[in-house]
Amino acid sequence: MTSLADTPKAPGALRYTLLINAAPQSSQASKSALRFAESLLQMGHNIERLFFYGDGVLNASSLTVMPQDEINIPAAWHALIEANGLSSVVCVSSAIRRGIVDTAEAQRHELYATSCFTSSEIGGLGQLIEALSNSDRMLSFG
Amino acid sequence: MDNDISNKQTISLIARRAPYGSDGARQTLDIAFAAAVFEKSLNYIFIGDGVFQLVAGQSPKVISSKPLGAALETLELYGISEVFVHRDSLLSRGLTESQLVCRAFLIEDCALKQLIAESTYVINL
Repeated sequence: MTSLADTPKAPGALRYTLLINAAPQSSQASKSALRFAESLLQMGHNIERLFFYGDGVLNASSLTVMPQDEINIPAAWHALIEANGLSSVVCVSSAIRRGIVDTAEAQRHELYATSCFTSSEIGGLGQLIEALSNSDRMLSFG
Repeated sequence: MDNDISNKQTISLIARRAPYGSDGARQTLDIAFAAAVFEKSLNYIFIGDGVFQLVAGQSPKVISSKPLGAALETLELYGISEVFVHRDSLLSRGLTESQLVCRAFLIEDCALKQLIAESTYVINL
């Protein structure tokens, strides 16, 4: 994926935080969030942070497998985040309840596998509140 | 963005779901506590079935859920005093102010609209 974040910033470019609260497979919400994030970058706006909360943490699952003719939303998020160097945080208390763990959480809870894309960081709600302080807009999906 | 501006930001949390049917209620509460730790100006608004979250004396253990009331009682300790309950939502569900687990301002439609309009961010789970 090419980096969209290199688009020249338009005058009046805004900083956005996106709160994604829906699982990738059960509603349109996280697909809409993904398309919205791509559009923001294409239009020269900034994304302060993506924050995945509740069922939304499943968007960071690296273990999702989709049929070939369907989009793999978690993989698409991963590609977007990597290509544009976005800050992406997965809420820890939502994540561990749903089996989304990185190496550190897997060790802490003595689990045998990791399931969180490395492009996202497992963190706390404080990082949502902090992102809001640095944003002009916050949109929530789901 | 400098500190002056971020300190003036107001977050409105809208709790509109019954307490145990989904995890929206718990998620909203957790955001409230996080915002309080960061000393954010916060409106906590209960509307629709969300008013059931505030009803005292719940025993959700029998359905394997954790009670919300104990945490809601501590809102004031965390400096969250701007708790609003939509009056029509409360009354139309046969509830009264005396049944609520914490102190809350009863609010009408137009005041609610104004509260939301004046908020920097609205989180509606």
